[in-house]
Parts: sequence; C-alpha cells; structure tokens
Amino acid sequence: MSKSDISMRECWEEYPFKIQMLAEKPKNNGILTEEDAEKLNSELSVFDYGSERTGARIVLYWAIDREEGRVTACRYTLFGSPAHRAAADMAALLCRNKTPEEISKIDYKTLEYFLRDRPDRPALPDSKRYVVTFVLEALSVASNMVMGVEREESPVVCKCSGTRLDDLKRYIREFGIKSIGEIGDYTSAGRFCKMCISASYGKEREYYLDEILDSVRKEMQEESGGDSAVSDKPFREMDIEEKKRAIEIAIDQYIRAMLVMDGGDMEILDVKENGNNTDIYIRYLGACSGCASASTGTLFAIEGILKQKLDPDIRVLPL
Amino acid sequence: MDIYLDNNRMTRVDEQVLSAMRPVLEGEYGDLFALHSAGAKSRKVYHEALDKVYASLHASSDDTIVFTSGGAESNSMVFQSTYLHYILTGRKNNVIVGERESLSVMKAAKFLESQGCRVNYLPVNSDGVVESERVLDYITPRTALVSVSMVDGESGAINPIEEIAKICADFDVPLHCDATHAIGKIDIDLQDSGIDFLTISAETLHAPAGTGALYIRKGRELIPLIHGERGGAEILRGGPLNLAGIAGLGKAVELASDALSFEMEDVRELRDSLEESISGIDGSMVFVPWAMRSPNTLLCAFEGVDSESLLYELNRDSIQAYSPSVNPYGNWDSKSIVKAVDADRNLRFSTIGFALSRFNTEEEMEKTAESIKRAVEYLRSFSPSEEKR
Repeated sequence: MSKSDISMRECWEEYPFKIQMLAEKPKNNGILTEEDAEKLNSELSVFDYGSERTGARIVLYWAIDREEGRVTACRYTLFGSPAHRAAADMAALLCRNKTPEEISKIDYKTLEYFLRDRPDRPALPDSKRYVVTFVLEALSVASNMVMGVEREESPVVCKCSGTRLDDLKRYIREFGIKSIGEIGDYTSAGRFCKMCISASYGKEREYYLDEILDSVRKEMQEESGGDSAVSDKPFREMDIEEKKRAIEIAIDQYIRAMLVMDGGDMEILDVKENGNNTDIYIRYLGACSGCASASTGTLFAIEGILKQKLDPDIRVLPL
Repeated sequence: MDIYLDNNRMTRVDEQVLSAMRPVLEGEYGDLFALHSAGAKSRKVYHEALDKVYASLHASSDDTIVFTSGGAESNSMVFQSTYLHYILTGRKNNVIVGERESLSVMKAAKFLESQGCRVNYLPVNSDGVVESERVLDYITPRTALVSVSMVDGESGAINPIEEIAKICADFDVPLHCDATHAIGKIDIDLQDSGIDFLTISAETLHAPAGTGALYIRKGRELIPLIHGERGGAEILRGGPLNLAGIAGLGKAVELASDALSFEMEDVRELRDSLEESISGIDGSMVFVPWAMRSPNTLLCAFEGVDSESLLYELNRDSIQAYSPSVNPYGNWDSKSIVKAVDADRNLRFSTIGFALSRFNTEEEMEKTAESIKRAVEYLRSFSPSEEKR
C-alpha cells in the first residue's frame, strides 16, 4: 500500500477539462440515416457492440464513401458513463476521413492522448481505463466487419462485465498487466461478483482470471527470454526491430507530448535503412495533419530531436 | 442551491445536534475516568447522551449500550466475537445473513466463510424484502448468529424483524440487526423485540460520522475488538471515547425518535410526490412496494439510461442522488437489487436512488422531478435501446 492507494483522486472532479467538456457537450452523438449517408455519396453501416447488462453498449453509425472507402461521417448512440461518452465522442472525431483499416490501427495510447488536457497527466484514473478499451474494441469490431475480417467468438470470462478470453489475453500482453486489480482497470472484469477471479471464491467456472493471467505472463516470459528492454547497443549497430523500438520510445518521451498539447499526434508507418541513413516514415494525426508547420517547423523539430537523441543520420519523411 | 438526496449514506448535521456538541468541543475535555471536576463534566455529558439513547430505543436498563466509532465497528464487533466465541472453538459452525446487507456485514460474513464457517445468505423476495420463513431453511442448533438489517440502506425495504426474532428465539440463536437506516425512519422498540444486538450509526441521523453504538441484550456477551478497555463506559472498547460525537449522537437519536411520527409523515409526502412524478416517466421502475419501504427512500431505474450518466446530469443541476451500481464504487458484495427481485437484467446499471431527509422541501422535489425528466429525456436521445422503443 502507498499514498496513491489511499488517495481519493478518481472521481468526476479530477477528470480533465476535455473529458468534462466532451461528456457534457458531445458533438457526434446521435444516429445517421440512409438519407444522410446518401447525401455524402456514402453507404451506411451500423455496428452494435456491448450490452446494457454489462454496463456499456455502443452503436456506431458509419457513412463510408463509395469510391474511396473512407468514413465520411461517424455518429454513435451510447449506454454508458460520462467517461464512455467522452471517449466515444473523441473516437468518432478520430474516425472521420479514415479508412476502416486506418481506424483499426488507432490504439489505446492515441485515443487516451487525445483525451488529455496536459500531456503528462493521464486522461482517466487507472480504475477507469476500461472506458478507452471498450470504445477501441467497438472500433475494432466495426472496422473488422467492414474489412471482412472474421474473428472467432471467444468465450466470456467475466459474465458481469462481458469480458472475453481473447480480449483479456491481448490486453495482458499489450498493457503488461501484472495483477487482478489491473485486469479490472482495463476491462472491469472481476470487479462485480468476483466469482471469476479464482476458484477460491467457490463457484465452478471454466476460466478464472488468476489462471489466465499466470499462463499469459508465463508465455510472455518464455517468448522474451526474460529480456524485453531496449538493447543498449549504439543506434547504428541495432537491427531494424531494435531501431523501431528505440525510435518509438524516443518519440513517446520527447515528441508526442509536444504534439498532443496542440491537439495533434503522429504515428510511425515504417522505418527503413537506406545506406548510412535511417528513414522514418511518419503520418500526422489530429490537428497536425494539414497544419502548415507540419512540413516545416514541426518536422524540423521532430527530426532534430531524433538526430540528437539517437543518430545524426536519421531522416524523417511525413506521408 | 444544492438539493441533497443522498441521506442514506451521510446527512447534514442538525443545528440542535451541533449545539449539543459545541460545549464538548469548546471546553469539556476531561477524561471520563479522571476524578477531578473536568472528568465530572465529561461524565455528565456521557450520562446524558447514554440516557437519551436508552430512552429513545426503549432499551431496558438490564441491557448494555456501548458507543463505538460507527456502524461498521459495531457490526464487526458482533461478527468477530461470534467467530472467536463459537466458530473458532468449534462450538457452532453456521452464520445466516441477508443477501443484501451493508458492506461491513457482507465483508465480515465473507471473512467467516474464509475461516471455514458455513454462511447462508437469506434471499429477498420479489418485493426486495427478506422472507422470515426462509430462515427456517437454514437455521440449526449449530447456528451462531443471524444478521438481518432492519431497513435496506439502498432500497429502503423494511425487513420483518419481529418474525425472524421469533424463529431465532425458538432455536436460541442470537439475532443481530443493523438499524443504521431504521432509526428515525421507522418505530423501534427494543422491549420484547427479541433483538440481541442492534447497530446504530450517527451519520444517517444528522449527526457527524465517526460515532455509533451497539446495543447488547442482557445475557449476551461480546469480546472487545479494540483493546485497552477500562470498564465502565469503555467496558467493550479501548481508547478514550469520542465524547463530542457521543453528545451529538445522543441528541440526534432523541430528535429522531421524538419527531418520528410527524416528521416522517412530511418526508413520506415529499418522497411520494417525487415518486409520482418518476412513475409518470415512460420506462421507469420503482423497487420495493410503497408499504414495505422506509418513508424517505426511493430506488428506481430508467430503461436505457446509465446510472452514472444520470447522476452526472443531476449533479450538474446541483442535485445529489446515489446509485448502488456505479462501477467501480458500488457495494458489489451484496446481491444487486435488480437480480434479487428478478427484474429485467438490462436495468442492472440503470438504478438510481433518492434518500430524503427532514431538510428537503416541496420546491426541491419539484425541481428534482423536472431535472430527472429532462436528464432522462436527454440521455435517451442518444441511447441505443431507445431505437427499439
């Protein structure tokens, strides 16, 4: 236990202004009709995710352009908390003008960053992280359906929160979850009747959270050979995978916060070795895309930082 | 101005209670066991408060009432003692508790369960009330304790304690009642009630939180939870007592029982007017029938409306209500009312409660009803389930 465990900083008054604003005045809620889509020369697709029984349900309405396949308009209806509403509204904003493939690549970090007021302060308390994963899961289910990617129906692990086995396994890997409490933070599984946590609660279940956590963590340890940190080799001597990881970390540490402060963000599309040079292909997101300084000042700043922190022969190429 | 409707959890301190506490806070600070005059002043305050609690609850002077730090401590004392007295020694092996008890009772029961004690949970019927006959399904001569709250703090359901007490008496099993939500709401007479242990807590009685009491019927014994007891006022609990809180609790209990009949009638009327407005909203449901509910409580649900969102909207209108189902802050150890009364499971995260007090007014109820209507309409304007309706 520590001071953070006994603090009470998890309630509404601690939410960032952005979340409060989006929760109180959402801009993208509501529905789209066939006629609305027709006006945009688009096809309407509707996706339903979640359930009232498990505390959150979202129905996404996407108007998808017939020629380019981009989402021209996005709306949603929602049963969920104010934080759900803020996350869903921001997600709807992010989906616009993207192809389903691009939408499926929106990750936790991106959506969460967009909900922050200050780059160094998380948007939501730890115990409410499941709000972001819920909205992302809905986006992923929707984009997969459009792209025709079929996913097998995975068994439900926690009946109260509706958490499924494959999602849980993925989250444990993605977020490096180490405890049952953290599973609750990211999925809200195990928070309610608690019977799914372990066999010691006395209800017979096919899956228990503690067993799943143990087995996935064991797998992860075996795969990484016990070492998942960035290599301490000089940047030039790293192989391409290690370079990618180092660049990703440098961007997170020194660059992303700067962009997010102005409502923007960036993602790395590819890293290529070109003779002596390392070329980093990036895409701007949010307010950065289309910003006049994206190809001048901002670009020089990003390149400058990476050159200074990693290697003088780095080139950054925005697409 | 704020409209406070969360009075089953915490209440505004009454001016008269504050007046009773002020002398202690400002000047009377002697130790209860000190022989000097400062001690005498404190003893006077203590005895006055004690007399008020005895009189208000109609407790016999053969019975014992000890002051504690609140409901949770009183409840824990009963359960821990039961464990040490009966379960640990192997003399008895079973405890029966209601399935919708307060968190401190549920956690204590879970603790006993983890220690190998068999715990039976008494189900509530479709009205949200414990059925007394169900006690017969579980009770045996080896049962160490039956614990049922007098009034459900979330739904306001009044449990049939008298009938349960009769069954317990037949089997000579002690009965514990958490009366935190009952005092000042319904009539309590401990003479011939058959109740062996009764929990009292100050925060629901317009007195400050942090003080409570435990009534112990003659012939029943408990073991102290907090050691350092010196006898007398501290017979079952070590450490100097919170005398200011005790003075407040004494006054609060007196006020609550003196004004019970006429004050609760007023509160009931206000609650009923709010209930009528809410029942008029399409897709709403009120839990626990009118006649079986404490006069200040209204627990309801609105289809397609999330509890936290509705609380948030009401809070923006300066209305403070409560919900038993806000993730992750609810009491998930006791059975949810939706499941317990077998209502539509989709309502599980749609419950919201309003607990009134004597400080609420008619005007406030009108404003609340309007706000609820507006908020429900707004939230349903983009609710997925609304499309089917």
